[in-house]
Amino acid sequence: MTLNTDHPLLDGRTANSPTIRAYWGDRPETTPVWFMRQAGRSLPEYRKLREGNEMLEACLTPDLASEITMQPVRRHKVDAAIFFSDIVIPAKLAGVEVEIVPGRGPVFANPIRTAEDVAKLRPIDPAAFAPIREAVAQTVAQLGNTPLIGFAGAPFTLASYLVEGGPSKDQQRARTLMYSDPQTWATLLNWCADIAGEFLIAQVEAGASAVQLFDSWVGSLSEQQYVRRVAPHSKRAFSHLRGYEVPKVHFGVGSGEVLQAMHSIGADVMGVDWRIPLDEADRRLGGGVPLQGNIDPALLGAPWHVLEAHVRDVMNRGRVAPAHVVNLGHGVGPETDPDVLTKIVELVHQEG
Amino acid sequence: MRTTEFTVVGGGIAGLVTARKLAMAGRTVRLIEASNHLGGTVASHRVGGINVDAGAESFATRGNTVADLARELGLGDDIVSPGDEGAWLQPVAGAALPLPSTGILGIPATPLDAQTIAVLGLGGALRAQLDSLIPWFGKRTAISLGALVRRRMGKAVVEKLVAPVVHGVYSLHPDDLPIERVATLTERLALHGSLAAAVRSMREAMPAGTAVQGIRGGINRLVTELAADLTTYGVIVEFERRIESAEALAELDGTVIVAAPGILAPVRGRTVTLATLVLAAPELDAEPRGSGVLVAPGCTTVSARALTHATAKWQWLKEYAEGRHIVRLSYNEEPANLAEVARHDAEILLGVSLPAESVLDFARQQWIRPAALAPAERTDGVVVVGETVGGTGLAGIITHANAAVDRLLLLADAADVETEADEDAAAEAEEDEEDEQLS
Repeated sequence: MTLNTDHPLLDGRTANSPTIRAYWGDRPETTPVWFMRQAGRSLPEYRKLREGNEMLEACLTPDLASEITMQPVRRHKVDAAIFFSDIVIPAKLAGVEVEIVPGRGPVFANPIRTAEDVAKLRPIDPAAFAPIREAVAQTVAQLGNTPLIGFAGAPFTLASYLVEGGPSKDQQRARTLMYSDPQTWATLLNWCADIAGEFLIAQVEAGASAVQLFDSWVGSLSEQQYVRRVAPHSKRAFSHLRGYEVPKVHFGVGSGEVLQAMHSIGADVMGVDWRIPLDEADRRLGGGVPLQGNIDPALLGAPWHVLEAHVRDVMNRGRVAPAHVVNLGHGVGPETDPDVLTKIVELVHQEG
Repeated sequence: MRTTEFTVVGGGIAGLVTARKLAMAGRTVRLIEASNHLGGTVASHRVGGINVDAGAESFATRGNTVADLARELGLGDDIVSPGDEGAWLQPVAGAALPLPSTGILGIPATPLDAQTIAVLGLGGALRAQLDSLIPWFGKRTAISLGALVRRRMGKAVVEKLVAPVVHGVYSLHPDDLPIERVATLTERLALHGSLAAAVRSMREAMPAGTAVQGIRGGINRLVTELAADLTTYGVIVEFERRIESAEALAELDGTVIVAAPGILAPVRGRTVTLATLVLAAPELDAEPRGSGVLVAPGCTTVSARALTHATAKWQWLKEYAEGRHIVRLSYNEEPANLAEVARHDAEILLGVSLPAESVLDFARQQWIRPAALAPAERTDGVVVVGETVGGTGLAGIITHANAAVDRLLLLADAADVETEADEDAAAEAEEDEEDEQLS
């Protein structure tokens, strides 16, 4: 499969945008910046729009998902939009019963814990992504030269939610299954990889100019566990995009031990969390890999001069990489003052 | 859906290793298995409520092949060595004796040591010592290990020491074991001039520790992990499909790898019957026969060929068994009433009384150990892996399969380069055509 000729990457809209150039390793004149979870709870306009709308319903209502995706682009003048969605959306569209419990996160009515549970999971019908395609198309039509980044949760993180039945502290049940029944584990992660891959395809075909695979829980794994039980499945998720020439970003929280392994599955860009500085990430990757990150979200609440110095430090360290897209080391928290984000964008653009 | 590049026929250890390695190299692989499960002779069965190995229960440490695979499969921390109690020997007549601990495959390193004299008698030991005086002129014709040892050390060494050990390792009589199958023996013999010296140098070259190792929980864990990897790397596994003949291979997709006996030639081989007993026998706590007993051919007091005291050999199994004992006996010919014969044989071989009520559980397992494929039975162009070509034992089979896959991948990569070059040429030709149209 290939991109349509009217795709933003091919019709001249986004191919030369700073974000896409940086993702391909071609350092633009001005360093681009966007924020993970920029669309969402930190914005008053988002909270207003969400009133009376359940989270996953909002994700699956094209007008809402598109508007929420656009809000931070208008407000902060960031260099990329990140598609507003949730990691569990493909699972829900594949027929798994799930709801987002406010203050807790996704909760599954029937956790997936046995070979029988996994056998009941059905492959996803690509037609189920119609609302996603519609939302992406609406968004891209408004974005002009700003690229939209598609999004999916990595198989391990998605599988952890499914096995645990919801968010958990250290993914212990998931990691136990990995050992107690490796066959079932592999089958489950293949399923997760395939629905994540189809989710990415839907977004890319509808106009996303890049994708990012999020592995939020990867920090609970040893390198050996990651390489053997997880990485091949993340690779499988990306491999669905074979033929679509879009840059692929791979991001994990607590990924210092597995940075190299996460890159080697076919990622073009590595997102780095706040735990290691970018020059160290570059060293661990052996150089040559465009980086994204890694402002410590904890500093968003610090006095401006502290945050400013930190942002400058992040940018300086990022200069060792072929190209750098400024981002946070994790998502924007709900308590974040949105004006701080706007100021960071101004600072980054002014620094060049 | 990508087309199948490789079809592996047979889901035993060789087929699994082959399919996994091809898939990990990014190739599309299908595996066809005649039964409804994977692993072949690396299997487990439940005896006394414990999952124990039903086939292979240890692997040769030679070359680190199996340990390397186990580590790759995440089982590195669970590799275990057997207890250091040696094995014993049941001679044709008389009581069991400790097996001389310095030899290899029963070939004594020092024929005149007390342990060897105890087995051979002084006359036999002196005859064995002649080995140091007989010159070695090199090997002129194919020769079996049995013939070699008989010539240099005498008949007693073959019958009393080598035959029981070789049978325990290869399920073969030494007269049927070509010396090439014993790694580096010929080379060392040429170098050192005598069999005992060759054996001593082989012992010195061996890594510290034991010649065999196992895996906590059983060798069968390799299969669980390999099978999971096949899923992880997208190998399609088709169960309960039997490929009957070489002709049927032509219908399969991609490059075919034969990893099962009975396809290129009818299965010829020996049948081995295993009897596993779970015993309540506190007398066995003292491990009276170390890790087990090898039976000299011709011994008529028992029908078993060997007995393994599994809970003495493997500490992990002892923990699992919670005070009970597990012994495994092997038979070339299955006796009628195997359970009773096995109990009786265990009693004699272990030298303790084992009344019927001490037997808590019993399991029977039968395997065919296929003989090597004759050169005439190899079909040109058909890649074969497994016991019929890789030798007996996991180390040999896995080493052989790994090498076969390396060759296949080299060929496949070369073919890819050619295809790409063709495609590039075609694309260029097309572009030229477009240019012409434009001008």
